Amino acid sequence: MISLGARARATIVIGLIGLMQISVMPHLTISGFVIDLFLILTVIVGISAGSDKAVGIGFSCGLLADLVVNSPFGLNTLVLVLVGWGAGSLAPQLVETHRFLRSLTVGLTVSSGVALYACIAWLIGYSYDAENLIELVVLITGMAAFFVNLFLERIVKWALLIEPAVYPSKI
Amino acid sequence: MSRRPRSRLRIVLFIFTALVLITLDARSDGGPLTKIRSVALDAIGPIRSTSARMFVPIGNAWQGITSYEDLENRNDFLEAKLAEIKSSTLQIGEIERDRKALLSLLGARDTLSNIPRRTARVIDAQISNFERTIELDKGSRDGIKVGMPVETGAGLIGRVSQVSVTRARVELLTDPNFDAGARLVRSGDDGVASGKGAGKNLIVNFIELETVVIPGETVVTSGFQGSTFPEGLLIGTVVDVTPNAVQDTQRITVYPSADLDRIRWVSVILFEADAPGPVLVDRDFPEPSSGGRIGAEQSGNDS
Repeated sequence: MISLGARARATIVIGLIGLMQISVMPHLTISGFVIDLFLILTVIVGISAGSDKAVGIGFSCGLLADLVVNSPFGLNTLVLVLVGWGAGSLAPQLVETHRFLRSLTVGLTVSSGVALYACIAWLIGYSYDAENLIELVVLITGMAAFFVNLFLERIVKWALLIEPAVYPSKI
Repeated sequence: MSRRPRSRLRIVLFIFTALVLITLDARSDGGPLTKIRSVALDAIGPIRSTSARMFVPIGNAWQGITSYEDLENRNDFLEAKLAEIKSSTLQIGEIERDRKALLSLLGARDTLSNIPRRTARVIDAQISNFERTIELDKGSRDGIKVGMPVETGAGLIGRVSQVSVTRARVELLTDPNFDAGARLVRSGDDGVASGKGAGKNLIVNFIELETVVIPGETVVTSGFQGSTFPEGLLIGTVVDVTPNAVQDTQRITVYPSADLDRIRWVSVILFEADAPGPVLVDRDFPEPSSGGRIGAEQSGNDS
């Protein structure tokens, strides 16, 4: 069960990440591509705290993202919930690994998340401007996630009071 | 209920909610979700305006580091373009004088210069990699409505896709969802220009096979009756022509005139499809069929 304090901290972190995503990140692009902090946050929570918390964070971040972008409402929510669940499934294998390996996993999972977005967009018939550049979006967002994780992971762990989780396989 | 089935139920519930939202959004154009987004657009507008002022210099410095080669190439391109423009300025002045003289002889008004416009500042770049919309600091209280065309001095850049009280979002003409009636200025043939994604040229389809199209030819909006674009807005220039013998048409590749990468100020043309239309006859071959109102007025002038 998540404590009230952890909930408050998680809300503050999501709020701040949202604020950065709409105000700072559009100006700090890499070759014109935006770093998707919502996606990175969801993946970090998934890998650090498991799928239960990650789907909740993914759902909140997705709703926030859907509010401020022009894509079909609910698309970001769906993708982030699925990514949170997927990243959470990796958590038992990675919880005690080296930080570098965790960052690498975050990068790869974020890239998969972008690819998943593209697949779902295709399934629902949504055309977007970067369709022809999707490989680049996958690559750059994944690389950015690798570095962002080095900073964001500590904040996420502080916010959610994450301690090494006890997974069924480790009992 | 044990912890595991409960968490599974939560995931299923979240996915179901997301799917319901997607369905609702697809089925209700201008429904409650659009209104919620408009409120959000107004709410984040001041934050984005303030952050734009704060972070644009930092962003520019960052761009200088991460895209130095791009900037160098761009600089070379712009220098070449400037030289080209300098050489053609005199010629353009002469053509413009001739055009105005012809318009006054025909007793027609110049549509584009008569349609009111609203100058707006581009607040910010995109939030997501999956949409290349730009946000403007003017909204419905300034008379801006969804569908209105947006241009810079260099040509058409897109149309308004979302409006709130104080803000508007513009869908760029490279967006795959963008379509506009297009006309080749030299031949007067009409087709449909469609966006093909970021960094790609536009494609104009449905141009008849026998029409002679020359690379470098200018393409403007055709402004058929009911179109959201007035006639004569500059779209771009022809760069390639591919004949399609099966469909008896040609596929024209068009390079957009306006630079879509660094837009600071734009003009929203307060043109509405069903509003009483102004008149434009500055075409080489005026045809009565191209829009009822235009045709009627031309016939009147001729008689």
